[in-house]
Amino acid sequence: MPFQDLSLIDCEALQKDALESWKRSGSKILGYVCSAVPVELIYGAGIAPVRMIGREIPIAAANSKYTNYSCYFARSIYELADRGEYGLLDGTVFTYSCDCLRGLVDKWQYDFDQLYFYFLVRPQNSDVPGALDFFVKELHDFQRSLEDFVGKKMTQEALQESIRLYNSNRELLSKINGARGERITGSAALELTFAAMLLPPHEGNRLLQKAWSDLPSASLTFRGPRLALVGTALSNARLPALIENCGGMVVADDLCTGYRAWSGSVQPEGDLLRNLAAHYLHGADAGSQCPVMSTKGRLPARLNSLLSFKEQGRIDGVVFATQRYCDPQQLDNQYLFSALGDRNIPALKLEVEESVDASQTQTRIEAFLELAEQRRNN
Amino acid sequence: MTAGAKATGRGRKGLETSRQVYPALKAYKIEMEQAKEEGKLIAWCGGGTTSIEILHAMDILPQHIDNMAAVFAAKQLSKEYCEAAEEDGLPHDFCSYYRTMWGYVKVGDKADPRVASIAWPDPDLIVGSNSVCTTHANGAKMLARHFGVPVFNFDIPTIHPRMDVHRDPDHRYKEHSHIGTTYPHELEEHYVNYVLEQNKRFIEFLETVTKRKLDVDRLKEVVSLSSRASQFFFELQDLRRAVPCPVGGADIMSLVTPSFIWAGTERALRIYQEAAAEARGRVERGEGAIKPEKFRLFFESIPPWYNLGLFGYLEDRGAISVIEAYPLMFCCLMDFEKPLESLARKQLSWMYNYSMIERHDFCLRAAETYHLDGAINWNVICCKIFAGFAPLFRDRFNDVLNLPVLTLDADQADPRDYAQGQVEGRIDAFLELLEQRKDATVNVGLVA
Repeated sequence: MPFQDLSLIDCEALQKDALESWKRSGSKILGYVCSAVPVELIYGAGIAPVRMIGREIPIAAANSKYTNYSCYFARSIYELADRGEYGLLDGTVFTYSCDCLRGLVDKWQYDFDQLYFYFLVRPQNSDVPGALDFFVKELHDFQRSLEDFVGKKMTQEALQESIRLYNSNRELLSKINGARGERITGSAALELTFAAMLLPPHEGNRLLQKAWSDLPSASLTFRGPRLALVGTALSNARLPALIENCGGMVVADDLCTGYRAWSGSVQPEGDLLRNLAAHYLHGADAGSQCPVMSTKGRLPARLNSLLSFKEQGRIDGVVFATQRYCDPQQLDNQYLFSALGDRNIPALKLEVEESVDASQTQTRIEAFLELAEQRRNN
Repeated sequence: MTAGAKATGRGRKGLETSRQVYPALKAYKIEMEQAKEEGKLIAWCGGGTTSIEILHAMDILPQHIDNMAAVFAAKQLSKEYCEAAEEDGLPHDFCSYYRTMWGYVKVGDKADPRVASIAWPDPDLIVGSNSVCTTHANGAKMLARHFGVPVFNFDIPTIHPRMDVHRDPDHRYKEHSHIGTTYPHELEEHYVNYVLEQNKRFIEFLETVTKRKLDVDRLKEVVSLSSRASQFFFELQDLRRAVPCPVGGADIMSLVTPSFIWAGTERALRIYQEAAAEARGRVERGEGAIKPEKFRLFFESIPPWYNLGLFGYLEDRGAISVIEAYPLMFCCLMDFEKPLESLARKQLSWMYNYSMIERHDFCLRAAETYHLDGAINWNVICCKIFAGFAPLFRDRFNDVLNLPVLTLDADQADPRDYAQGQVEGRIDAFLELLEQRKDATVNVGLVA
């Protein structure tokens, strides 16, 4: 087996153990949904931030109590909360991630009792003069709110330590994801990325370090079609796994629950809130800014990023995995798909709900991989 | 719901002024075409309030993307254009305003030659904003790329819940009269400044595009006109508290147009002045829009523009929409001596820019002051904002006021998701429920 098999890693069990142990120490846990939430601040306050990414479950309560005209990602998060599966959380932190999640935020407040709730306002256009200053002010308020919640001032050292911890988390994820197609499969790398977000950061780092040291050191370059996976949020790695079963591999991604969450690092010196604001406002990589952002040049940068992957020979094609009802990504798809087509770069659009329907999608992926391989060989 | 749409009914308007809105819109189309020939600029705007007062002050003629799509729908032309957009790759669940407009810009009159009678001239610039949804900001960019014209996007931050009045137990929901208007939020300074500075940049952008300077006195005059028009619109809404209600929902859905595109013009002021005068006269004479008035309803959300006849269907059964939140959002009282700050406050105070619980307080308050019997919640299936709001609206009406809510799932502009028979059947059942509740109240009263 050239690639690490992660089927033995039970993320949920790991998370449960880690969170229960964290709670026993008397510390608090907050859930968050969006990769734009500065987790460093939460952890700097001595609280464990745990990402809520939903799960593949039948939706019932969310359709009646929240809405059925929202993406599966948002509805599955509501469903899990309704089932009481976020019982270990002391509260949640949301931001205006997108219009679907905007609706979830308010219904969440109304339906679920929680000790803590915070809605972080982040500008959606990073090149508006004053956007950074505005966001710094909002982060100050967020910091105060967290301090009130734990009853303790956050020290500069604690925040610095938290930033360093998350930087090493990102560095590890960057190394692991950078080895996709050579030392690890795309699906396994995504599973590890999820695991890192589901655990408190010190536990996440421990897992990532072990995974990194366990990866086979020899380069076992994958020979089939190599793909970039583009979209917003995925709750599981079934799609990259299906692509692998069909003979391809995801070696790059532009996802909220993937690259966007681990790219770059935060400067741990100087004005820390300003450093955090810059990281979470501008995004670590201009080529992977969130599709809700209306920053000038964001979309061409997203395209250029894919084009440069292609030029460097890193990918043979692009798969768009778009959550149903995700208007921001659909608008980006409209531009990216046609621009890739103009350049004769193979691209496939898939709609994701609960997950991918393997029986229907498999044939499309197989045909697409065949095309991508042909184009590569021509 | 399944397809099977038919050409649905037109809105039945009771006010003479409401009936003048569409002719005024047609006249505006001709003005825009003439202006274009004279070298004046046309701006397509999308997303809540986009400081169209500044456009008017600079002699640029604005048109609102939502309004264009709504007119396409009202003229039963949106279906073909939604289909054209879907053929071009936009999914069926994507915002139908943008599907309509994207289909139109892609295929023009090839889909339906009748469109020539309602389509507006192509834009010379586009103005977007995220104050209602993120689709508008990036949709504006998509249109700008298509036309190869400059685009300006406002970034309007959502009002943080710490500024919500409902959190203050002394205020609760009864304090303020109009969300987005005389709403007494103490907006934090950095919110106002952030948007105010963007309005300055907007002016610089327009000055570059037009190669002309803004006349600040002219802007003050325009802001003053916008504010005075808003005052009359709010008076009109206040008058609808009267029993019987002088003006029904179809009138208001038509009267929202001036605030969309003519805020800051004599035309909007005249229309709202006359509409308020008509309503005032009716209240003084004790005349209602319908007779008998059996049920007073709150109509929430964007209406089905392809079937404003829905309001007539209700009215024929003694039910009238006496208040709607959506049309209130485009008006604002402003201080013309501080035009840029006022415009910033108008953009921030946009109702859908607040937390849903806060804006729902408006709905709860309306339920008391407008003497409601129930509400109809038009659950716009392609609009993630309204669809996200619908369950909270239903729950709080039920929980706080014990008022029944009928939620109807259908679209705002795409008639393919509308099933007339099913909607009418559910309305009939809902009105029966309201009747039973009234009977029960009377019976309890007699026993007591």
